[in-house]
Amino acid sequence: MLAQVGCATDPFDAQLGPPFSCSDGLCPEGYRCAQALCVANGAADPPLTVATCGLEDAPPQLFWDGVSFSAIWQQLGATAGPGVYLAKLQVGTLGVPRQLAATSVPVNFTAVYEPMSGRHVVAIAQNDLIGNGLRVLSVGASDATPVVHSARTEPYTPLGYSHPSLATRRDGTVTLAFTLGAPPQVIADNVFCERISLLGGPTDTACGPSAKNTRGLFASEVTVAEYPKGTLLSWRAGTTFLTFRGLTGIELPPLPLAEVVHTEKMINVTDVVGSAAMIAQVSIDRGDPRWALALVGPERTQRFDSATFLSSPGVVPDVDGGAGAFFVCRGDEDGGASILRFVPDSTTTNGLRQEGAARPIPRYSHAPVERCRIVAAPESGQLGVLWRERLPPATARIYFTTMPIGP
Amino acid sequence: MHAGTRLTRFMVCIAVVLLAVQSARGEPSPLKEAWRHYQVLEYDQALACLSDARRATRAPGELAEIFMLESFVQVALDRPDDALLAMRQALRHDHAHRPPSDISPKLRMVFDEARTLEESRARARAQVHARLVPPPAPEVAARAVDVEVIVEHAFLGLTGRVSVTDSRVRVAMSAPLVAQAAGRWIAHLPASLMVPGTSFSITAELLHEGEVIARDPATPAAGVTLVTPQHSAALWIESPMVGALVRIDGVAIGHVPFAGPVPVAVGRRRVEIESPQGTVSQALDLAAGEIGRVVLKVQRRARLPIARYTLLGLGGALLVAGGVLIDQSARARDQYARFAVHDEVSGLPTTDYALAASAQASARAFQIAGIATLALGGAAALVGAGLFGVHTKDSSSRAVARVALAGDRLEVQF
Repeated sequence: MLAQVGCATDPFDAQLGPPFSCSDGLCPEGYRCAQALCVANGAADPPLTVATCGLEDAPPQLFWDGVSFSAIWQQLGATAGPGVYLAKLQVGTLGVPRQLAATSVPVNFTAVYEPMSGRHVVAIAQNDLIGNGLRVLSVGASDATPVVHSARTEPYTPLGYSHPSLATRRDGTVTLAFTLGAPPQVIADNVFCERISLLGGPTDTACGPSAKNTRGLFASEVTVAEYPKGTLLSWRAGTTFLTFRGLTGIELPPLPLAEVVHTEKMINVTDVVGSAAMIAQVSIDRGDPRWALALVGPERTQRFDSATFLSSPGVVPDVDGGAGAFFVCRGDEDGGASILRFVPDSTTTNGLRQEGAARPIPRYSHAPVERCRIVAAPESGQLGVLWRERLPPATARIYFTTMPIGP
Repeated sequence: MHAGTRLTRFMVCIAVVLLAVQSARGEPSPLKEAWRHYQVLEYDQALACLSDARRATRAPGELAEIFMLESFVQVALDRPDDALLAMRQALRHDHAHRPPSDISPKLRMVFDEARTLEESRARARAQVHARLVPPPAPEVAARAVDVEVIVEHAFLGLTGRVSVTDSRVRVAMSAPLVAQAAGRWIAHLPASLMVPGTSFSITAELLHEGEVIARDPATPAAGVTLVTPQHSAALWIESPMVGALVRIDGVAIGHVPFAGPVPVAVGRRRVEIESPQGTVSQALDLAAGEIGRVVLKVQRRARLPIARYTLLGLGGALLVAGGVLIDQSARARDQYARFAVHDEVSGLPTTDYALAASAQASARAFQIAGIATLALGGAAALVGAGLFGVHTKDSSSRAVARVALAGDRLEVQF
């Protein structure tokens, strides 16, 4: 009893993490309330909690508009109603979420920030038993409501619209690529591309591969990256092909990427090396797919056996470029995520060299990361990292933080 | 024959011879010579002869004649007071003496007045009566004793005394009687006279003009006896605690109540009373002749156990209560800790601190209250336990409440 009297110490250990949540800002002595968590004084702020959503909701997207970061995510359980939301992200503060589209079912969406128009562009593909739909909309900072640039619907097909892919040329246009349907309704040449003007110009559909190059194949996915001289597409029809269509109409024959089984993302890095950086799953000699980072382009040989392989268990990696480097967010063995920095190096066989060690993303949560997005913001010297953690059975939570861009 | 006897006989013979010679010569006596001078109006010579005549005779009749002639001379000298006084002296020596029948009316008036006064004086002296009240035996020796005498028909000029005689050591003294009230005269016998173990014979006497005119008892041999005790000090011990054992200087002398003062030796005495309620003692100094009055009350001992056990009980109760409060504090803290539930997957807390704050406040309140209660309980228990140690010392040292003389007695009250 006397020991209890004499041991009037705080029962919490800062090493054990936040002891309480603090929805009303109240925390024990020695702690402060940050991101609704009671964290010890002197400890770093927790990551910004963006949203709590379902695992079936589409993965979030992260952007840098030259001033601030922003995110777009789907949240069917949002108090303001199910839909796709946009919010600015600042350190410790989440902007007021803005609903871009009402979606009552899980969708596939992708989004880009087009700097010339200053608009966020979202392409949403919704496939269900009623039919298939694909719409493109954009929203500017001063817009009261999003602007719908295109909206197409199709009767039900087994696959419907593929996961849409968006790229921007930074000239007021965005390039949308997608596939549609499955046999027997659609049996061939189903890789579509259109360049949408956000400034009121006409939509250009002559950015995808022509039927001559698709060769009557049936594609199941496509990924687009804008190239200064044209549009680069990676589409898979049994085999992954890389096609290039110049702005002048010149079209290069498809380059087969035999090892690639899935292209997650391509980014334009022409300013650096004159090619695109691709995050893809590759299978070497029919082995298990592995994530790899590779530089691809019309001027490069398309060999992936010498690619930079990424260990990213449970996490779909992401890549972005800036400040003369590539930054990859990948999963770690312990369920967390870390950042890798690569720089172009012509002396290596794959043209890339990792710089520094992996930097773990600082987190308070121990839940496993399933999605990770990274955006370089060279103007601020920071990297924006957005990730989604899986909270069984069906909940996911989206966090955001920033890290120094340097090694 | 003895030489002294022969000398006495020789002197008597000489005197007889001289008287014979004087008588043979035929010289007049002083009284007759005084008469002769009175008759020839030589008054001063007459008074001188009368003075010689008073010294020459003791016979009452002759003295009566001398004073009567002196009265006549004083009348002649126009001294009426002296004349009346001389006439009363004449009648006092011989109340049947009468002047010659042919005296002048002026002398007759003096005689009549003197006779009247003397008759009144004689009656007063005959009526006075003294009765000695036997004094009670003193409680202790060496203290003064007042002897009371009842005097009846006292008159102006009457005095009295008490004669005390110690037949054993042949010591005697007289103490004057002082009238205290009508008929009540008191003689104060000093303490120094009251030697322990002495027997005194007391006699009261009334005097008038130096003459004992009344005595009680009538003869000194039948005087009232006063015996002083063997002890010079005593203690009158009183206590409401009947049956309590009393010790003086550690020696048990009996149980309360006592019928009278308890004889003790002079000096410092320690009185102790022992009762079921406790024991108290007190030392006091007794001088010779003092009777100490000791009132013993063992009240503190009755209160002390109550305070002692009350404090112990209260302290124990507070300690228990403090323990309960501390236990509640620990329980509240445990509850507080239980509030800190974390999600199994993310490790993040799932409980809002606001929900736990009340438990924390309760824990701290219980802790503070518990500590305070333990402190109070401990202090009370310590004081209560300490009272066990101070009982004996306290009851003896603080027992004296009052020491004072009550009248002629030293009174000590506990």
